[in-house]
Amino acid sequence: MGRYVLNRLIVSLITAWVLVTIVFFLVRLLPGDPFLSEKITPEIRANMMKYYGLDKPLHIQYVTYLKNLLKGDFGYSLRYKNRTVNEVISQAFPYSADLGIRAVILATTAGIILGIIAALNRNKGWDYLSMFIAIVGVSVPSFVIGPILQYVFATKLNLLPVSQWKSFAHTIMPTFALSLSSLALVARLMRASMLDVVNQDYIKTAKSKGLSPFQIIWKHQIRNAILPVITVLGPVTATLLTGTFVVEQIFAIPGLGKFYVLGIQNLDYSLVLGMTTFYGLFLIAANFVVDIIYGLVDPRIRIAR
Amino acid sequence: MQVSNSEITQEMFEHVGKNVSQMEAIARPSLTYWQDAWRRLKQNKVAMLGLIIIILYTILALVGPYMTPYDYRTTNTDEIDQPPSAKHWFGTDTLGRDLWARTWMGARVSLAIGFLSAVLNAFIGVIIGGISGYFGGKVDMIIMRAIDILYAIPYMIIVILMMVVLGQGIMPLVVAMIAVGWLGMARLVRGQILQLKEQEFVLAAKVLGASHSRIIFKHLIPNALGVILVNLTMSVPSAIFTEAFLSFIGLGVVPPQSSWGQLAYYGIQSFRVRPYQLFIPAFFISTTMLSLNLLGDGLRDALDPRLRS
Amino acid sequence: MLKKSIAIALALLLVMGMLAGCGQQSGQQQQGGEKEQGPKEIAFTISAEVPSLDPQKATDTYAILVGHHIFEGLVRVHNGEIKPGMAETWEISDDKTTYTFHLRDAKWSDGKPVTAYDFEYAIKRLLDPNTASEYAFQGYYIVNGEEYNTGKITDPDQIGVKALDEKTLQIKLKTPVKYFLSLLNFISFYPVRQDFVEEMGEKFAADADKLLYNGPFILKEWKHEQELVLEKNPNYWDKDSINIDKVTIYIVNDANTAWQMYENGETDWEFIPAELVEQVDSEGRAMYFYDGSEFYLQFNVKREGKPWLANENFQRAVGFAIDREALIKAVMKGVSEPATRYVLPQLEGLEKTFAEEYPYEFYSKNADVDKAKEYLQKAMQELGISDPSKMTFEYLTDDTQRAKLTAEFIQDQLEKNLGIKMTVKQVPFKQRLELMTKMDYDVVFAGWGPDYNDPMTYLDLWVTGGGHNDTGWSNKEYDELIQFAKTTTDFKARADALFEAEKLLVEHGPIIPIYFRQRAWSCNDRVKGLVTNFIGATFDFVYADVE
Repeated sequence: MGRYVLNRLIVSLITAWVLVTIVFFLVRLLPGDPFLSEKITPEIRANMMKYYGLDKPLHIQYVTYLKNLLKGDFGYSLRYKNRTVNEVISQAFPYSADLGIRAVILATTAGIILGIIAALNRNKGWDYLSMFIAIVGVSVPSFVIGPILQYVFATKLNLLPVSQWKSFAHTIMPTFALSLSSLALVARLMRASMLDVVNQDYIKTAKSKGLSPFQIIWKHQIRNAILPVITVLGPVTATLLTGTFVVEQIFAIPGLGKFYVLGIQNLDYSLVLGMTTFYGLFLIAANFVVDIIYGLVDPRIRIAR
Repeated sequence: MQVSNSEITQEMFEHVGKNVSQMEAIARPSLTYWQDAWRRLKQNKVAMLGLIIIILYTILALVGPYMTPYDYRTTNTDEIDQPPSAKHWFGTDTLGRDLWARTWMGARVSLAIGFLSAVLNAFIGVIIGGISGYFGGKVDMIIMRAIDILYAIPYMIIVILMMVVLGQGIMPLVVAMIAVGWLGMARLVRGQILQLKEQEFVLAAKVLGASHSRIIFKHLIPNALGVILVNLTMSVPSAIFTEAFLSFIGLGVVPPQSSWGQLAYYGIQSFRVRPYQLFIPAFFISTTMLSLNLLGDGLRDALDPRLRS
Repeated sequence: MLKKSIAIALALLLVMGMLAGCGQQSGQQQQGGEKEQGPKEIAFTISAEVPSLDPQKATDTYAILVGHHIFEGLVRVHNGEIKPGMAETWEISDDKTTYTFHLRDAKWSDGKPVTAYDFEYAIKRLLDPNTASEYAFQGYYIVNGEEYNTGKITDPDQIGVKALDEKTLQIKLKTPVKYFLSLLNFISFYPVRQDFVEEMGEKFAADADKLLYNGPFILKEWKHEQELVLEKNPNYWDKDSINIDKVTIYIVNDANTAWQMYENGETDWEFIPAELVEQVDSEGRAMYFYDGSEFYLQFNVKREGKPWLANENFQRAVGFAIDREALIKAVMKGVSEPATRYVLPQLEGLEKTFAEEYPYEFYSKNADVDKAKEYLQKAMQELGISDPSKMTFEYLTDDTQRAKLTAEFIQDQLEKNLGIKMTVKQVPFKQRLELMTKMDYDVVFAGWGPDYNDPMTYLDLWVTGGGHNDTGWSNKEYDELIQFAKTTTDFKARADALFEAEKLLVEHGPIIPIYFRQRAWSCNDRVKGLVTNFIGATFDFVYADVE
């Protein structure tokens, strides 16, 4: 196990390095430069390029960037003057993480429950209802559901605040809007794998042992059916925790999501690179953790050969 | 025939002789895997409904724009923001353009992007996932890490670069979607192949001297086809969604084209005063998703040999 | 209905200059009244984080808005009127190039006095190439400003700005600049204190506690991407005129979300999303003001293979074929004014506005198809082309929804009215600027906002070799008119020259004005004395009050 973890760690680091390298050169291919604006003159623009070291040959900039990166320094944002990318990320990440964790918890619990209900009542009313909810969840884009929620619950019914991230009441709509598609995914997966498990021999064995239906469902079916859900949870968690543009924009949440878009629109090279590296590491770590949890939940799976 | 109850006489029996033709006959009609799947899919009413809706939308996308005298491009500032009426079935938009025509012209774009990118994604994903799963080891490790990397590159960068190189339009969008869209399919196929390749029929094929490519494409992929097809139907909606999201951040199709995503995005801004401008495109996006999901579910059930009865 | 209220709003604007506050009561009138119970608070939203509040590095509209309230320059412009700010009095030399300011006793938020040295330091900092200030060009009017900023000279003491003593500041200009005083209200000229800037180093202005304030308010809290909280500055010299105790500025990207916050009473004023203008207007709650931006079509006259782009008659044909009023009605829901001339009507003339003193209308508000066709015929003769559909071009524009609708409208108009086929290319903002800079476009839909209150801010763009002239257009007469206007001390002759230049540009140049942008907004009745501006801070709540 120890050796496996070490190997994975090394591979992860190499992956992260390749990622940084590719994105470093890709953002430079985008047309325009960070200081291009309607009012700027060519002289001042050149001056700013020089100030931020962007006039040096690309490979030298790359080496400098890597050196700083090794120290954990993402450098200064080119757009948010006098603020480092580390600061920008560390100020915004807690909001995204908070929202993301809530959404993951809602999506998994509600999704698993819906999936179980559907599977246990296969082809009956409850199955159709749960799957209908799940399918509606993936069928409506979040940029449609968000404003409609706002309009109904905040403007018309005046039950919830329109936006921002301040109290529990503020979190309800964004959490719901964000979790919807993952909730649907989890519910469908759970249903499918529950149905898979029903036909397995060990369920038959458990039945013939005389276990109560509740014990069978709880101890055998659910525990075994939950594996695929854990697999998808890795990337889903990484994505939800590191911020989503649409939901954060609609609900005015000061999270990371907007920087994926704004960073690229503003050609804020260091911010884009910082965000990519951050997200990449998160993704790699999430997949890594999932593999390990996988081994813990299912003794049949030995990752370390 | 009236006979006394205990008596069994010889007359009651008749020798029919050997009937060679019927001896070897198969009582149930012989069905291939596909015929059987299709038969079971037909029995699944919900899935068929999904299929019918998709076909209907496709037909409307082709003929819809010609069912009204109004061109999808022609603006008319005397008729802006008209609600649905006998004249304009879906109303008009902010430039006074007929929304029925725009909806079905938009359907062409959305459905084309959806299906085209789904099919191409599946094609690439199956090949790369198949190779990764079958060969395993270092090849697998490298491919999987490459997928990790591609997954983490900001999507917008890729889209913008594609547009710089290829210009604006449907093809660049599709190419940009394919650039990262195949990742999910590749992962999935790899997982399937990893399981399948340990099975006896693969060993048999190997023993018979089949080449790697023959084993992958003639034995392994067909066995994983069910899962692939299901994923394929699910990836059509996700491509339509992606186009909608790109419209949300301003990187959609070239004017004066429309798409369902564009229409819905515009509708979001006006739905408080003109709900029809949102609900009509949102209805078509949602029902397309719904239909494809239902069809996907149905396909999965139909293609699962264990559920065969 | 809508048109009528716009007309009324317009009339108001013309009469009252730029004033368009809720209630339109000046704050000072409230002064001396009995103190009300509890602190007076207001709240509003801005649509993006303020990228920087460092006065010499700030460039965007929100920094200008916030900066106007937390800093103070030598003068303070309120409601279009120049009032004494940090400078109590000033003298201007006869040749209008030397300004001497006498500072009042004012304090920074840490209690130390604001001195002439702070201004000298700030202006030199603005021009220092090592500051890498994007708006350094604002200091190019000053003697040796441009030379120092572009590295032609290295000694900052040669710049024409000098603190004669703690209380006296002298600024020398290269040429007389009519609008120089109002320019001093611009954020780039706000003072900063050397010891504090140097102590903070790279962290200067990164957070609320890393700045010093000398304006009516101080920045109490700056939760990045979330909100800014301003509080009344107890050290401000004119603090008795300030009524508001606390201002909360929420950062909300989404216009519809922001509007719903206003509707729910969470904020005091808000822009009205275009789609809702009609409704809000019918409820009598909509107000309008010009935000200073003008939008126009810009032709690349050096485009190879497309000679018609350089043809004056072709350009005029396109200009007359577009129904500006219908465009505004459809795309902007009636908010904005068709541009029939080039210079923004609100800009200052000699006594009144430039537009009043020099009335001019070249293009019509609606499409003039006959005239357009006439021009097109002439163009086709000159170019030897018989089929107008051969004269295609690509229209470059931004990737926003509004830009798309505008493009689609113009596309349809040109095809319908002239049979010209135009394709549309939508790109992200930076890419559009890049393509313009490289002159890699046919026609671009571009906009410009004024840097100062004078027609020159629009007109000097198009001189030969001008830093922003991406059209390739070059006209000797135009260059001479602008050069004359820039150097003369006779302001009447100057205004005449600017008007001649404008006519030359509109009738023979590569620019087709489309519209002057207005914004529709709504404001809570309890807020009094709020002022909107088309230049500088969009909203000025310095002297505002609440009931």
